[in-house]
Amino acid sequence: MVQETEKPSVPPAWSIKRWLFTTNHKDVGILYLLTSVFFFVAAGWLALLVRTQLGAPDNAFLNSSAYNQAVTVHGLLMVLWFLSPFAIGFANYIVPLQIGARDLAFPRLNALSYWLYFFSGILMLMSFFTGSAPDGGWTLYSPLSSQRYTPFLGLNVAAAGIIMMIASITVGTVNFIVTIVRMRAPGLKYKHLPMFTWAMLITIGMMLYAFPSLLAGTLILFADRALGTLYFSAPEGGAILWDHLFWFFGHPEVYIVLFPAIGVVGDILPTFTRRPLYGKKYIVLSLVAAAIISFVVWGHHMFITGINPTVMKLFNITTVAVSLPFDVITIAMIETLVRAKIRLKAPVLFAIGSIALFVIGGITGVFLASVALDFQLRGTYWVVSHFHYVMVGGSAMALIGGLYYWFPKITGRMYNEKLAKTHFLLSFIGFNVLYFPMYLLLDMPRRIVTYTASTGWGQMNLLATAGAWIFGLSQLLMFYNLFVSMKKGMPAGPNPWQASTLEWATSSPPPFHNFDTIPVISEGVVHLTNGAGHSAALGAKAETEHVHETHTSTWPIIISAAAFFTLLGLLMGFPVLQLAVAFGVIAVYGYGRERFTVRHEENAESWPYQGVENVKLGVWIFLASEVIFFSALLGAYIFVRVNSATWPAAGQILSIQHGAVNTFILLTSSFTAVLALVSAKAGSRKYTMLSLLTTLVLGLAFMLNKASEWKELIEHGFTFNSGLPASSYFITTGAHGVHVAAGLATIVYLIIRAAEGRYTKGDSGTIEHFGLYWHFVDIVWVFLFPLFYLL
Amino acid sequence: MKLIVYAGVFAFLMATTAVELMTIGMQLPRNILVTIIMSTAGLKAVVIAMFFQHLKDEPKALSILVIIPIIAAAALIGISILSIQPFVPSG
Repeated sequence: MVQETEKPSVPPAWSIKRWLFTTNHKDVGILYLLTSVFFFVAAGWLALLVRTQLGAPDNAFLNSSAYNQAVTVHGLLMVLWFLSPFAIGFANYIVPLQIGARDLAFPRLNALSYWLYFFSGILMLMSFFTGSAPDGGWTLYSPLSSQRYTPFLGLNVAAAGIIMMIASITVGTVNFIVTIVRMRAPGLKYKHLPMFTWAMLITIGMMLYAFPSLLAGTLILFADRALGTLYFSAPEGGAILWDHLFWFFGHPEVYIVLFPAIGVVGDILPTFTRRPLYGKKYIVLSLVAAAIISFVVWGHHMFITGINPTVMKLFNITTVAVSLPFDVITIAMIETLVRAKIRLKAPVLFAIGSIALFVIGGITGVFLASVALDFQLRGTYWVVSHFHYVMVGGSAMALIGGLYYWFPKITGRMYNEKLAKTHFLLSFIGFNVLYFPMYLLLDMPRRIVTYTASTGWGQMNLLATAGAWIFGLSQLLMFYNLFVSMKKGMPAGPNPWQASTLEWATSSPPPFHNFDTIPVISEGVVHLTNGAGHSAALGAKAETEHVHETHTSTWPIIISAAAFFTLLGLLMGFPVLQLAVAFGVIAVYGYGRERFTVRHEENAESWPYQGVENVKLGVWIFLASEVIFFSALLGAYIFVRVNSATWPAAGQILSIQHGAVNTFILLTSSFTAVLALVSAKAGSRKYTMLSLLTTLVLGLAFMLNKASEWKELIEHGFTFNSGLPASSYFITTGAHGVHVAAGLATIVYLIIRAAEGRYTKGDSGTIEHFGLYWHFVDIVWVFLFPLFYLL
Repeated sequence: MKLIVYAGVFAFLMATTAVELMTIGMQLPRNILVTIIMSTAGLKAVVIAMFFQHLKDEPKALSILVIIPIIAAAALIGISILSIQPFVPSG
């Protein structure tokens, strides 16, 4: 039966309103791609400045301050604002199509994630206009990043940008995991998932568990700089503590950047070799293995810091171990190419190029697993070359290949193949001329602004700089090609590559609702069935059915702007802060009340989370990231405490009575939160309201008790900067307090909605979701109480 | 889940908190004190998760989702503490 298609209520593509308020995954994907390319250009420009400075001995093109800023911001922008978001842009556009979904699970959260990313990047760039941008290297090593050695506001602004970026990532991870595990088209089992979607699922899982550690570290850094706490400036914490927190995130981050590229290559190779990806199952297993091991290799970045040699041995072994899954992946991909009749189009050229460059980057990285070799190579241009071969050669090249591969799908038009091939050739040559000489500069320190002619480094540096300009300028060819082709390219049709994954089964560009009918997969074969049940071939246009969803929301951009100004307010002072917070509260309330309809397919594949509805799963995923965040904060506290010769005994400074009272209050509030859920399920509005009100009062009592304790302590000289016991106490309980405050704001919202008659008519889910969060906050306190008050 | 179960869990949480407070009054060796107090805290956390957050009744995959970061966090904390221990050469 053919049903009428209702046009989605969205402004046309030429309207600015459309791009400010869209929640559709394809629009958001395009926004991500464009914004990340903007940051690629900005970071690339900084790299060219750096390379120009290093192109000749005794060069004074940049002074040391400008050079340090350019190097630092280049690294931060490339890693955090280009590579991952570029992949997220593809994931936004492609993953829902590849799994046969109409959109991501939470479209408004997706828009929120983008706008938080956008504004975080603005904060990062704003740091240039505050006297000095961060200039201590992208790793923000302590104590170089402390107020004493980096007194400029720029690092605070950048830290705020990083915090906002991580918020964006957290929101995004929740969305993608729920989407991939619970919204796959009927019959689409995990074994049928395309390589890109598999790679994104694993990548997002890593992001979920890696970024909270950076969040904890950056928050502490921010507190150290803005409030005067002492974590990273005290010898008991300092450089080693920062290294642990940073590299626990930092090493998985390398794979977070790399895996999407492996996914892209894994989709491109079968398409252009016209044969299945060799050993796909083993590639997926290898990605999973590498993801797991990546969380226990971070110490190899710390071999020269003087950590315990036994721990170094452990990291030596794990670092060698993590290279093994990549051997499997590389061999499988090469095996796919062997004796294949390859159609040498631009996407596959970039894919093959990226494999070749990754092999070089990977092998030269294994040298760094050896403690003895690492002592010699750490901090030299060997390391610079190694990680650029992995991150630019292995990752960025493949992602550019992905851009050519999916360009026809996104725009509906073909690009100019000759220009694209020329772009590949120039990029590949430029890249190797840029980075290979750096392997030969293995005696040149990486963090120097210039060098003398007598070092003999001049020729190789000149070559590298020439390569940088070739590589950089070759990108202009791509921009020109894609820009012109977008309007004048040949029409692409639904499946110009004769590819077999699901995104090619719909028109190019796809309609708002992606598929006229939800695809059904049987034994790995796609069927596009209409209401009458007959199937259509891949790429054919099936008949349409009634689709009506919301695709715009004003709140995500407003909430993100409020967060942006709140962080600025924290740096600038109270009037801005108060206004921004008030604005943010109104926006969040508006977001909560907005009527926004999302259609979910009843019979979508959802193993292993059948019966766990999307929002509940989303809350649990968020809480999983919170486990790492609070563990990192508590780990920092335990670290400095173990490392300190003396520490105040229990009851000496912190009142056990205060802590105990708050424990009883919070445990009781958890009980009343459960009672609210029981009452709502029983349909009792009166007791639902009463239980929520009691939870609110108890939560407020906790906060008041905490505030009075803080006041008392500060009056007695126990202040942010009076020592590590104080710094750790204020930061950890402060972070917990912010979570309690967020919970209280949610309760107020719930009470208002309950008063309007919600939650007692079989719609108690929201109270349950709030409860999950509130009980988690309670669990955190269950550990804070003994650690700070009793031991 | 029945109300009586929630009430029982609440009573258990209050009682174990009281036990924690009583334990610190005893003159126990530091290692034993830390073990008892932190084990009690861990037990309370598990009980809250199982009963108040209903993990007991949810698919195991949900528990795994939470257990993974706990293992990762244990690795972070454990290894970072080990890394600052003085090295004692064997022999």
